[in-house]
Amino acid sequence: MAGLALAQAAEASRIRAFDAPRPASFAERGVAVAFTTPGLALARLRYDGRERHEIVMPNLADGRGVYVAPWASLSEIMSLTVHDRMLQQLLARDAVLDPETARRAQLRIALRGFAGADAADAAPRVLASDTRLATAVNLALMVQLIHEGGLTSAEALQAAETGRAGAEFRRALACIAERAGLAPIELADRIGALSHAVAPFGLADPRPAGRLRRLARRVGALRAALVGWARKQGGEYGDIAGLCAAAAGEAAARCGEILHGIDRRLSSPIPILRAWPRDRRFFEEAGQRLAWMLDGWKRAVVCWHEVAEATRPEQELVLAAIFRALPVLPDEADPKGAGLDLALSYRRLMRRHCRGPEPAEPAQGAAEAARRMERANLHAELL
Amino acid sequence: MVGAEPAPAMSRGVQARLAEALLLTEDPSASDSLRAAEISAWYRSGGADPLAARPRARPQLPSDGPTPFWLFCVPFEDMLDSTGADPTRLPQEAVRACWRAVEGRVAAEPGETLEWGLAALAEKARLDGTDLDPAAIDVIGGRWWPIWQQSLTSAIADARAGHLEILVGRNGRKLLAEAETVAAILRLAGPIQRLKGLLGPPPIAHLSSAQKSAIRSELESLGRAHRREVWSDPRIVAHVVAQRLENPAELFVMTAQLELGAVSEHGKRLGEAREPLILARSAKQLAALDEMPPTGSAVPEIIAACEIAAGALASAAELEHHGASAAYLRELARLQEAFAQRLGTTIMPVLRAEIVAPWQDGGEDARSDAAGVLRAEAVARGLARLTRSTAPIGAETAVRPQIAALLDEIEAIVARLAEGLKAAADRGETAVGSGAALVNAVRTLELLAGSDRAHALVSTHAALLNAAWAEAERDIVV
Repeated sequence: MAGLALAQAAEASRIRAFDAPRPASFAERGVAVAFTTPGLALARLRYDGRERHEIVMPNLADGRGVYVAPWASLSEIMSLTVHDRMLQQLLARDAVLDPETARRAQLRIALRGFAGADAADAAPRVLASDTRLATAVNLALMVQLIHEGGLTSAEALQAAETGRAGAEFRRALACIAERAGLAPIELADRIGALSHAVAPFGLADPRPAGRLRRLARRVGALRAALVGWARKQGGEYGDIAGLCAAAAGEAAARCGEILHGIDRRLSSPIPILRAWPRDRRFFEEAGQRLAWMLDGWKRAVVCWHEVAEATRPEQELVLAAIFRALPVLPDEADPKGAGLDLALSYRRLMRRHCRGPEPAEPAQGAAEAARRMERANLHAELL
Repeated sequence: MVGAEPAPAMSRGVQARLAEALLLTEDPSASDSLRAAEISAWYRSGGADPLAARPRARPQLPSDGPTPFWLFCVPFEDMLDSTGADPTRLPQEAVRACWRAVEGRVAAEPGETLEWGLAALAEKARLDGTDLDPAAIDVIGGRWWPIWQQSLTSAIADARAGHLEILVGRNGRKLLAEAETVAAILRLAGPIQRLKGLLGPPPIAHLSSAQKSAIRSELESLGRAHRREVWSDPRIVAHVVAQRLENPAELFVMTAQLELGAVSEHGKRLGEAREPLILARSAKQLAALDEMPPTGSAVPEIIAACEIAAGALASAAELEHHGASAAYLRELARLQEAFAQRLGTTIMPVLRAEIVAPWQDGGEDARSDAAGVLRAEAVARGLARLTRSTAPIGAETAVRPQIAALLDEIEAIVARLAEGLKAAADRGETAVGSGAALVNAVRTLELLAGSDRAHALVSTHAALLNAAWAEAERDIVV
């Protein structure tokens, strides 16, 4: 019996092929951490099987493959910046490594000054904008509930003009609390908790959009820009731009589906509030899925934006970098295999164009490259 | 200016440039051209080292628009010299003589057509509010440079046969060699203009890999043609284009590594001028360093100028493997020494002061002065770059000890800030500013000494920093 189980486990179909066209899961793909060591510009961080960090470096030295190195031995390959060492130390404290924990760690390291004085200045603003977004979502949900409580926009305006706004709003919210079977104070607390859970992606237009929703739009815009560039320029870089655009389009479409589900759920907030925190998990998981879908696209958006008006060789250089670190969706995000063709095309194209173009200017020192990465990371966070 | 004499009301350089402007914009056949040349020469000969810096004469655009003489000079615009003392350039006197020889031989009607074409070009630039279109200049020039070259070649032949007296200088010296050089350049005006277009307007600090590749392929293509037809020696093109570069040796080294066919007489003659050209350019760069005010605001320019000078001196030394003379190498060693000396005594103190400036007043306010910290970091990055670029010429020996002292100074700053953190912790207070200033100092140290030493420093003070960060981040949701 045990022999049969072993034989079944060893069947080729059950073993993941070493040259699979895309990673099995987001965790296997790793997190696109905002490193500043030039050698890690395209790298991702992930846990190995023994709860230790390892780094995944695509296209190292213009090669086709993906290099995996334990973090602990990385300093034997390259000189890591103090920023990256401190960031990894902070990340190693968390058992979970995902884009959201990485973002929080990056902001904490920036706040401490390791990403430069400008990033240290900007980090509190970024964190404050997260908080402001939760407040804006809270207000937007309140307005929605006041309307659902029976107060039309015209009535709300009239109440505000005649000084009866507080009383009328309380009355409408009390009506909602009654329908939800909650005390008014409990309703306010649950709206606050829901707002906090919703803040990373925010609400549908015209209400406040969260950073993930904004980023998903940016990825959609990147897709359009790359499609335009590919049509205009053609050639081998046209093919590369076309493929990057397809990957961006796929990520944006998947994000659109997730956001659609969230928005549909939020269109009737009373059942959510009544059963809160039952749906907290739904929103948190949706946020996590969005963050994973978008992981790695932020730097692509920033890099392409920076060369929008640049010369074609400069654009090709950036396009090659985007291409080499293209965040292809893993099997986990595409169980039906709809994006498998894209992954296969990516592998084929990578075999042909794994070697990027030579930069027009001679390579400057590591310090200059690290500073450019710091600035790009800062711009990405301020998107 | 460091250690210089008080400047006269109008500096010698300004007066010389004025004289050149007069010289180059007037009608070359006018009788008073001699006066302008004399003025220029007088200002230039003021006890100057023949290899010292000189402003380059250019065929400046006359105020009434481009003239045929101006167009004639365009291919060798970077080689014009009004002193007659610079062996790397074409004396103004010879260029004028060539023009007079050519002007008389080209029929009047095409000449008028040329003037109309140039006038139309100037009018278009005036209406568009732009400079003259270089591509349009090349189109017009492409028609006329071969005509002028043929005309000049036949004039030279007549002069050699004794039928023509026009190619003779003021003191009766025959200007045939110079005229032949002008003719050779006019013959290769097309490739020269193509490469100038590729390089862009001067100053050109160094060649990018794309520029090197394009120059290489242009020179190799000319070399192949040269092996079939003697007249297209690529060395002539290289020499003319090198005049445009801040680092001419870079191009000469590249040229020396290419298979360009047999060297022509003009190529040989111009090749003899490569060493004086390189040395003159480096001497000029060193002189420019002395002109820069040793103040914080000038630091980015100072670093850039040092990098250019170091790059030029390093490339110049590479010619050792390509037939450089002993005198050249001796002079180069002297210039390298002079550069190292300037770097150590004049430049480094300025850079050091800029780098430690954010921590001069205790440093606790370093967090609030983000711009000052970023400025200091930029200077530290520049210094790190400079150290690398000075290594090939051995000048880093002038920099290393001072960097070591600077690193000790930064470590002392870190220690002082850590003491502040500890004292605050002992009092039950927090010193958020000291923590941020300490990290900023560590970042500066990282730029100059590498991340291992910087990280060791952070690890040493980790407990104090963690306490300060915990306090600072208590009220911030991360």
